[in-house]
Amino acid sequence: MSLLELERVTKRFGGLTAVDAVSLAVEPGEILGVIGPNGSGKTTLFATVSGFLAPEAGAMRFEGQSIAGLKPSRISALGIARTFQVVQPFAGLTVFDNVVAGALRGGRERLAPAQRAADQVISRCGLEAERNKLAGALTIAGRKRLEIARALATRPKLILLDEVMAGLRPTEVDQAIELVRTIRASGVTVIVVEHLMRAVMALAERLCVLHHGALIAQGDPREVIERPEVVEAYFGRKSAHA
Amino acid sequence: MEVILQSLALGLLQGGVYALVACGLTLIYGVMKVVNFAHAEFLTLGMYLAIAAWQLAGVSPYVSVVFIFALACALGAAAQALVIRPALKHPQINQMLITIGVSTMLIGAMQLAWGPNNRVLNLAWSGATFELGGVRLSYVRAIAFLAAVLIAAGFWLFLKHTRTGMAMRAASQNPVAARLMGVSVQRVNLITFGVGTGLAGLAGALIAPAFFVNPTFGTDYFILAAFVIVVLGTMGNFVGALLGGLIIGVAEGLGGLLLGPALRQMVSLALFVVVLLVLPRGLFRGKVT
Amino acid sequence: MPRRFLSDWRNWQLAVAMAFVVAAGAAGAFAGSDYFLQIMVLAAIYAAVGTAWTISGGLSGLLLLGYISFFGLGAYVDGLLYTKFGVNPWLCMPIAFAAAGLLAWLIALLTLRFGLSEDYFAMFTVALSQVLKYILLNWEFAGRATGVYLTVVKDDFATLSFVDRRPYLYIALALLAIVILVTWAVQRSRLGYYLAAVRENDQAAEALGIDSAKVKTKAIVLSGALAGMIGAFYTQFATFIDPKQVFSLATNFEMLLGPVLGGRLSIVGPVFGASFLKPLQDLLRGWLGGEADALYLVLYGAVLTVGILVLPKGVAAYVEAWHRRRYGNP
Repeated sequence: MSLLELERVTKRFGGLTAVDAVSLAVEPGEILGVIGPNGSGKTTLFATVSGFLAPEAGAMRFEGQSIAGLKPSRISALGIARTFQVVQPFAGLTVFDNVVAGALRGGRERLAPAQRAADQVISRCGLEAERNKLAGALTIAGRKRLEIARALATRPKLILLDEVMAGLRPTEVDQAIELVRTIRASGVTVIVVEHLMRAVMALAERLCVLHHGALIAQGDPREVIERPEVVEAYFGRKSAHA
Repeated sequence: MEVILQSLALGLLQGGVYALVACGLTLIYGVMKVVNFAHAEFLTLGMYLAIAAWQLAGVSPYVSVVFIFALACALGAAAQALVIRPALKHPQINQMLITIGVSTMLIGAMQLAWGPNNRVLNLAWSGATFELGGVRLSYVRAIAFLAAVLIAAGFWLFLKHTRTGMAMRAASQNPVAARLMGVSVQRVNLITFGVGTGLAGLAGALIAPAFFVNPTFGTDYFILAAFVIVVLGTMGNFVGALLGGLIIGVAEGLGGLLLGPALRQMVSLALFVVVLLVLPRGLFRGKVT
Repeated sequence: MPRRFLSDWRNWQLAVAMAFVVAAGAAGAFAGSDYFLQIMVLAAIYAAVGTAWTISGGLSGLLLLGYISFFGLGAYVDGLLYTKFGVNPWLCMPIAFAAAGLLAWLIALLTLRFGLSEDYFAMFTVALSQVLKYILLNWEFAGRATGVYLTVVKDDFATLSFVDRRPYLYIALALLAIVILVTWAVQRSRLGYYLAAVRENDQAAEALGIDSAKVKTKAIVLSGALAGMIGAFYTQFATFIDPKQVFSLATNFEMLLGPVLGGRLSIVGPVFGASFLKPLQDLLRGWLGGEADALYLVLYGAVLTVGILVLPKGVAAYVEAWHRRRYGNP
């Protein structure tokens, strides 16, 4: 059984179909990459899967259980964590408190164990130096790492990473790639939405391409990006058949 | 039947007055997203000034209204520049409490100037009424009602067709984008707050002949009704505020008829509570139109 | 006091606030005039109300602007149960706690279900306080505009009635201590984390498994219930209820001055804020006299306005910054 199954999931905003009958399955332990031009519906898809938006049509199942229409906090409790494309730190709280908020896992952990777990996650994500700093005072790279750390602290089975490389310098990107790899190594399934090709190609074992909300290709990364329909989506008709 | 019609008519006129007060409030909230708790005090001030003009210089409120409008605008603009603007960066509750502070200062100032007791502006024809379609209407309230309609219409045109008006709408919808387009949000806010409070002062001058005024008149009498209208009309929509005012006026009137005068004021409050829950977006969607 | 304990800002505040309460009690024991004792009791009441408010208004950022609704309700619960049904006031307090808590729960349910925005929620609570005022102003059973009156003949602990003002002060301080403890406990608990997270970023909190509606409800209920309990005590102290007073918007905002100027995210803020401002207010009013009431209003409004402009986060923010430096937290 796949970890996450999406069957013809559709999300509309008035006349605009942001996610168009997307069907895909995510297997446990894999790193799935999702790419597509701006506006192709990647973040909307994440928002729908994590419960922030309700789909107009289609089925969503996590570990066989339907998750359509559930509240985000409920979906988090089931084991799906997400980061936000525009980072959403608890700016007035310290890095440590940010991560503890996640480590409490919506009430499934007591405070002391959660605080210990938070420190572990902070080390894993390389945030020890910033532990007692206010989240609002971090650099963008720090905030992105905090975003991941906080999501990781919930001990998810599946983590949705939304453009975590955006705005990072090359060395920071390398560090982020390493981090994602260690996340998967610890048993968490990962879906990465990325614009940065270098990162996608380095991480993804399977690649999905969205265009205008529809899934236009999926498969082996190296093979998928060569396909004419994918090239066309990014660069236009002429380039595809150049 | 006749009693009901009379009630309705009175309610409509009263609603016009409410609408007049609400216009300014809705403008300020629509553009600046500030709930101006001091709004009622500008209304009261307008009344006091009208009385002063009449008693000291024999000037009719319908003439002094122009000067009172200007004065209230200036005062409001000053308050905006000195006190409100710095607070816009602060959390919501701070802004609210600051307008409450301004409200308290104004009440105190008016009490200093004119004492805590009731005053009244007695025109020869203050209590005069006329008949229209079998219903008895008071001149004063009718004039206020007409003024409300005219002003609402005038403002709607102003916002739609003048550059300042468009700047206001832009600032209300997206201050950052407006700034990028060259709109001085600072100037817009100044004008908005000034005009908004000016409208309250103007309303005060117009209704002065019809009411006994004391320093807390505004707060006691109008403020909650005004807030209801603002929500009914959605914060920021003039036409909505007007229609909302009429609805409230009628509801209060009929409520007073059915439940007795003591509970009249409760009607607007109860309505407020209900409206907030059922129609948090107001009856008429949209921002400052 | 062990340094480790005090290095946590919340613990430090608890220690300081409690020390203050004890000191106030001692001062009360030696205070001479009834006049000062009266002021102290009121200050303690305001401090307790202000601190209770921070559980929702500060910690969770939920603008219970019309907070006096709960206080007034509690006052009437005690007043009516005691005078009409002879219920012991010591029992009335927990009943008022429950009643106000129930009202708060209803408010939370309605507004969260209907998804009210921040501003509208604030206005809703203000409107509600006035609706309650009008209901009680017109309710025969509650005495309409006359309100409720208690008669106190002698000191009687069993019925929480005293001629001497001093016992009231001790009880008020005990209530304040309870509120301080509860607030401190919430801040240090998991609930405190959830509230802070929801306050900072509702959506992000949801994504971490925090049910923001549930959490907000808890905060509102706790805040409201505590205010109700204090209101019940107030009736016993004041020995009369004037509906226009216990639901007065002016009093409402006066009670919020302590936490807002003192620092609404803190424990010490409301305690010291109210303890400083309320006596100042009462003394100023008394000193300036009846006619100068107008002048008092102007000054008071000015203090409020300027105070908030100059200290948007309240005085406690500066104290917290000092605490960070002193205890080496970066």
